[in-house]
Amino acid sequence: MSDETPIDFSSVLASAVHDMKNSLCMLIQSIDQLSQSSSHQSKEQAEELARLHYEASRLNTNLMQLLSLYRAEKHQLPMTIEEHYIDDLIEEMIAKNEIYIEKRGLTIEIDNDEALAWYLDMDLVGNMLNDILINAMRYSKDTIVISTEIINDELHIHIQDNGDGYPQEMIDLIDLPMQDLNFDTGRTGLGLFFARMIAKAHKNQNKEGRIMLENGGKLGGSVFTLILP
Amino acid sequence: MNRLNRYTKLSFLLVDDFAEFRTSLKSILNGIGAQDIDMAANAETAISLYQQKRHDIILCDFNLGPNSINGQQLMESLKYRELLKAESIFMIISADNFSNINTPIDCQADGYLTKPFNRQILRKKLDRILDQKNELNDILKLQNSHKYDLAIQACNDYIKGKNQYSFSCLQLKIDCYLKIAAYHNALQLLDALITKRATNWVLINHAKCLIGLGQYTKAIESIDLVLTTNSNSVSARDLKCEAFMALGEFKQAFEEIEHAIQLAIASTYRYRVAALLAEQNNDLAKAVLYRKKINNQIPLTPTHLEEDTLKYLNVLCQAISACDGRQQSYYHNDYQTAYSNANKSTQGQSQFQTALLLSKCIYLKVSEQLDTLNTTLKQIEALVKLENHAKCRSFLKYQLVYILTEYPYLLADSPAIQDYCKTTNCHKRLAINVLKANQLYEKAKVCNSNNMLTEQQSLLTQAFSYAPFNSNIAIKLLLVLGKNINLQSNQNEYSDILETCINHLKSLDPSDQRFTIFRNELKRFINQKPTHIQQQKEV
Repeated sequence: MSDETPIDFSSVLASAVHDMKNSLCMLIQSIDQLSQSSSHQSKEQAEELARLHYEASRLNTNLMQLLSLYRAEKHQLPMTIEEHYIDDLIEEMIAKNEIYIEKRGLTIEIDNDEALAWYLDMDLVGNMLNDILINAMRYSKDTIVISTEIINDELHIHIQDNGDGYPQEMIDLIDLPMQDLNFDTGRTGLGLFFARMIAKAHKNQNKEGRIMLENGGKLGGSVFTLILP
Repeated sequence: MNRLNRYTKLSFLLVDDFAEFRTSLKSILNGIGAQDIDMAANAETAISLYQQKRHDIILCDFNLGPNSINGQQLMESLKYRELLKAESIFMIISADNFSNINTPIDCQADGYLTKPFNRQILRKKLDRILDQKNELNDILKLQNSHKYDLAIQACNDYIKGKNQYSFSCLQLKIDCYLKIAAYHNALQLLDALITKRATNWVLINHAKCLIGLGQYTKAIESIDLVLTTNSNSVSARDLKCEAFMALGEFKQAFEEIEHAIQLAIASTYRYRVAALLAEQNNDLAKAVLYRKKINNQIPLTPTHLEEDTLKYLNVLCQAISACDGRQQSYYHNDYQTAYSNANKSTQGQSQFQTALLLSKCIYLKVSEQLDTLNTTLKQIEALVKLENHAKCRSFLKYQLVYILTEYPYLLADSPAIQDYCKTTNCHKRLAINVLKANQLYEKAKVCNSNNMLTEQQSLLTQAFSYAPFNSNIAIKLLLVLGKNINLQSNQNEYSDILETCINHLKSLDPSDQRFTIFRNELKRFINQKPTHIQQQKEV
């Protein structure tokens, strides 16, 4: 065994994630079909379906984060930054979660200029914001606002809800150096770590992307902001 | 069309090797109103179904199984055969993040969809692509029918209106410039984009222009900027390899192409480059490895050449003479298998049989079976006598030049073969000299008036003889030959050099814009009906 070429763990992980995502795809599509075909669902059935969908999406997000973080640690995370319409990014996020939004009776308000385009890695930013939206959907009472604005030549994307807001210890995590983040608290730490890493990887004219967590905003709950230079 | 029922009348083709995915995708499509849905479990069926119906939308999984070309290659194959109509939408589906799929940036599908996805996402994606395609349809049609000047004009009009898809339109315009080798024009647009934001798309195309203009070191600087954000960019690795090759840095070029091969889908083009570089670096083990891969390529690969088989046999002979023991016996076995397969599959094709026998002479020499060498030479003599009036095919010319360059003594006692070499204009190949090639190319670039065309052609011909792998020089030479033939209407005078040029360019990757330039020039030559080019029609 010793003279064999060592296995490239990144490839093994990528291959395992590939297989799992194929299964997840089938699972999500089946949920979609079930949800479509049974029009007279009881409230309990609708909630069960929404939960199934929510957990499958979480699993997918975790897989993507795991693979991206592993690749980033090995300096193998490829970035493809191109110009994209932010409207496309938001529409895709909503489409991914339409079943959950519908079943939970959530209202999503969008405040974005249709013509707004920005430079970003669509896959990575899309996955990151989807994780934030999934959290907002879970903790929001009934409303979420996704808004965008340009401040000092930087794009700000806000996702805010009318839930109870972020716990203070989570807000404090934002100022900690990356290496001091503690993952024992569960996936929240991993999600934030991923979000910070993806934001930081977007660079332009000596500026780096960043994230902000606050409470309050126009809905009084949590406010997540992604800033891209 | 009404957005609510826009999919009802469109035809769909689903390509996936997994029956469950096909069924699941079909029911999602039913959910958005689609009714006309065909399904294919493999690439061959997909091509055949598409040929019959030319579907409006093709949804194709990237991974079509271990023994098949993938979705990206299927799309390229349809484009290469000029089957894919401009109005059709080709969308590739994959469980991977697409930044890792590493398609050449200019050869992308209309859309990429990452698993998992649901009905809503599929619909959003399709809506977006259809909207964009409808909006840019007139330009796409012009581009698809190779009317690049008109397409550029249409792009200018569209961009002036500051419409929603202006940036996509600008990308189309740059692509058109690259497809007519107007590198200065494309560079001007790209320089302006770089001051705004140097994205990877911009930098890759910037590097392509610089390579086109012979500014290889500057091209490497642009490519390195791409590699700092995406070290897995195959396009960047390919271009860096090409620039290093043009500069004569074969070891660095080989590292880049090996990197690209590790990252990307199997590509005959890359294997050919890797084999050539390994030969230049005298790394025979790697040269054999890559030539073998080319020889074993799946039959659907559209660019299989007879020369590939001969090159594989030749490099095996070199490897046999350079090693001994167990490794040597492996090479002997490989040679005998490849020879026997080629021999069986080309019975009755006398020129290929002649080329094979020439290869056999080399094999007999390196394996010290000199007693049968004379018999083989006599067989060749008999065959070439019969070929006296037939046009010598390019692969036979390649093999004659190879033997004249590497093993001239083998033909010393065969005047009939030597005469055949003379009548077919086959001579010993010049030693590669990149410095001279680049100097001649620079000189040729300044001969840009019509009365200097002959001088320009002569300089480029010499440049290409010193660097016969340089696609940049080959394209420039082809374009100059085109102008010369046009002006002087004397095609036969340029027959040999034109053929050499074509032989190199036909092995370019179809996704390379220069392949489009080559194909369009070739079509133009064929329309002018010079007899010597008619035989290249199979390209």
